[in-house]
Amino acid sequence: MVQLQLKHLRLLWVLLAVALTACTSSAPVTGPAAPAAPASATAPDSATTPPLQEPLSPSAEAKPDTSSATQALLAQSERAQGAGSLNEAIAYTERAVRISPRQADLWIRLASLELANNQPQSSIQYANKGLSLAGGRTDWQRQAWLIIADARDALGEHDAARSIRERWQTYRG
Amino acid sequence: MNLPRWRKLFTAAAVLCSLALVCLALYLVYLDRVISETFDGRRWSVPAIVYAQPLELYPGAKLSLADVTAELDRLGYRQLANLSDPGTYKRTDQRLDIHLRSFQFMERMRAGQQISLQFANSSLTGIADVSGRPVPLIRLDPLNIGSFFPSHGEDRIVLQPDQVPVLLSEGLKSVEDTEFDNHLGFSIKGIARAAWVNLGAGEIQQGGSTLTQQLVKSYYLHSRQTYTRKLREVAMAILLELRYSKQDLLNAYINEIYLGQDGVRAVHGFGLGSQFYFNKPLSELDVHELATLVAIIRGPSFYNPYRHPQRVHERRDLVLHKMAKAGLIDDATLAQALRQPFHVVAGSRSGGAYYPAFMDKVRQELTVLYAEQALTSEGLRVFTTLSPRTQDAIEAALADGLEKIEQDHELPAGELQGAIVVADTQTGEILALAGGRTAGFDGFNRALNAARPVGSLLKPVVYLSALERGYNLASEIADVPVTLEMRGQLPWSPANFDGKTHGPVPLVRALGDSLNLATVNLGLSIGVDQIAQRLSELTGTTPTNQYPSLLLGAEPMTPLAVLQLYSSFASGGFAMTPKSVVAVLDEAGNPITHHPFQLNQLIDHSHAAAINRAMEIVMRDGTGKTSRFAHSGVAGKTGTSDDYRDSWFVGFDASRVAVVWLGYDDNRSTHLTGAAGAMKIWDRVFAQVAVDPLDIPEDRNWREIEYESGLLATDQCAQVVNVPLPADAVLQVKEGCGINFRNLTERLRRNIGSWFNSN
Repeated sequence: MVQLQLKHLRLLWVLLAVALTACTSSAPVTGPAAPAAPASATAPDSATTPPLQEPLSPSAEAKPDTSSATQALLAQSERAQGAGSLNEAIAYTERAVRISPRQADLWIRLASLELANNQPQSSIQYANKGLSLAGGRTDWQRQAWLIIADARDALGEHDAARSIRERWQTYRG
Repeated sequence: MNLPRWRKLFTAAAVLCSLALVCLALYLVYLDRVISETFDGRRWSVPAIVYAQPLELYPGAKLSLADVTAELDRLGYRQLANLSDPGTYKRTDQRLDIHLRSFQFMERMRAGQQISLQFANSSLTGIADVSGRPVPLIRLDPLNIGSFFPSHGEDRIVLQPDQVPVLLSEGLKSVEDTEFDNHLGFSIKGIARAAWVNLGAGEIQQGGSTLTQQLVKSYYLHSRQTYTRKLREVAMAILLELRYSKQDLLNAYINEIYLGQDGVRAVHGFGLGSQFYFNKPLSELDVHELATLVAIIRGPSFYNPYRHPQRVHERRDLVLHKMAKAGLIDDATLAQALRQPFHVVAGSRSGGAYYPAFMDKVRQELTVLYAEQALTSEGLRVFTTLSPRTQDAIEAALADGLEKIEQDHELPAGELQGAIVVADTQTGEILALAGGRTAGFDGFNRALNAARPVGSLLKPVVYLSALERGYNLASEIADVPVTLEMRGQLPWSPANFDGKTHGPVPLVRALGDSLNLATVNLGLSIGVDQIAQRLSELTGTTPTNQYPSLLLGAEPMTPLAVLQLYSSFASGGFAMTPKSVVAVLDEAGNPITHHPFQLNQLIDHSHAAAINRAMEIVMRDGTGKTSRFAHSGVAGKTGTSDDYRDSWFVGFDASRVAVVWLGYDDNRSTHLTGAAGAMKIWDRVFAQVAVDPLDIPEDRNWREIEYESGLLATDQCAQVVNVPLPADAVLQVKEGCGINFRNLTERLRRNIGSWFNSN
């Protein structure tokens, strides 16, 4: 009985709240295009006109599938490196990055090429970039960290390199 | 001995004659030296050519058939049923066949070849070569977007003899100099005819010049027509003929001759002439188009096809008849060519003068590395980051958007100015740049040079500094009045935009609603010098303002500098100097300089993620909520300077970051906030380039808090925001939340249902 009353009260409270807020809220419950009332939250810099149109909800289809393109470029990059043409290998990898800039392994590949090109500083930055995009991929994280370790060595920072290797050399993600 | 008088005279005459001959010989030697030096040198004086980013084609690319044909049209490819020549394409339903031109790319030469593309649902689904084998990746040739011609204005594209169609070289002879293959630089017949015509005071002054003489005139002589000049011209023509082959001379002529004027740029040579008048390489010109170029060289201002189309049309037909008479084209070809309507491509946007604002940036980057002389004469080839599709989108957005804003806000028409810069969020490469509302106008470049107060655009630096000092997005900030007394100055009492104070607010709301008082209180507790320091680290320049008003953005910055600042956030914490040049090759295609991505991780990943999330909430719940993309996974910040002089907006999705500035050149009020002005333009840009939503990271430490209070939200709360928080952040639970309208129907149903169930 008491429980029942509580539920009644709760419903009553809900309905009351609807009545109270319906005239001040800008968010229509159902139905389109209720005129927007002044926003309850203060909004400097914002115009009071409603948006022109609702955006399409982002779908997975909106993302291009770049895998075949980047695979082809990585293969070309490896062939170029094998043939001793480091600059060409870098150019192919950069092209892959331009096509798919948030793909961690491409940045990690670029990091290793930069290291081979005697650019340890930018190698570290590219590896960091790869790390920031690697998400949960520990295999990529390991690759990136080991490149950073080599780059640290190249910069004469052997202690830093050693401690990175201690953490990642034996790591099996 | 008494020599006869006549003998004395004879000797004197002989001496004088010898002297004269010696002088003449010396003069000829001098002329010869002038010729050989300039001729050999000038043949290689070619301005650097600048290319946009090539369009990459691969299965899976978000490119519709219309996108690709638009790019092909930009490149001057022709739609034909027969693809035997490069520079042509054919479309059938969802398939596009292209005969690509050959092109020297950075890494290698791409030979001309045929490919076919298959499309479905606005995507490129497959590429095959001519024998049907799948192709994983191929690119279109890049768009030529301009060249660095020297200050005297001569621009040209140099052609090798094998790149010149026979019809052009033979046609030139048939029209301009039928005796070219036989004469020694001048033609008695021609001079006689010219003299006759000039005596008869014909309207067009005839020079009676051979092609060689015309070459001499174009090379060395710029003064008015005089008899001594004429003699010098003939002498030099003879010397040229003695020194060089007919083939060399004809090729020099084809590369040298003046074909028209485009502002300060003088169009020289048939290579550039073809691009300028027809937007395609010379090798792809049709017979009537070649004849048009030959018609124009007789007098590029008299025969200016934009001003006197009828006159040029008539001369084109005359040229065609001469070509037929010389046996260069048969009667059927002649008839077909005569039937073609007279046309040239629209003047101001042709031949590479497309994007002067972007070219300013390219020039800025290159002049650090290259001498002016190298850029204007060594035939360098410059590859840049410009995306023509994005550029067209921002130009249209700015022009149309400004017009609409002026109408909606009853502002005088055509006066409001704007600038936009768009870059890739991860590489920092500039994809598009507009320096004013009139696209293609080579004037004041506001994107690079107009430093204007940024207003609230500076706030994220204050909040970043707070996060770096242990604050989190739920931390309480005091939005309470503050008055600063500084020696020798009036007390400063900033106010909120709405004139109210909001008491304690969570950090995420202080940024979301762009609260001035909360920001000043927070910034003062951190220290203005600390904020200034952080700003200079992120932009590479020291702010001019070291006073507390810096916290509210009383600091002028160019749109480009703002882009640099926000790129550090959009990239997830990596500072990048916005760049436009990818590589420079020499004339032979060998790489000279390579301009790699330059990153510098300056912001901790978690801090960047938190600020970016806060700027996403700016769009969803704060000052950006009137954007049509407020709920599409974009982050942004509005900015408005004092008295509405500047309307700013910066926004980014996962792929692109774009800065928009609006204002008047004379600094008067626009009466526009950042949201009412710049953000509207930004919306237009992103409506065209399509939003790529920001990723939601899989992070265990995201929690729902109430936007108003910053307290841990229950499902009863309205305006709940989901934010990343440090694992050790202790939050109080909000009690007695208001109604969550979004879940209202659901909750009503649940409550009513349970009520009935209990009964």
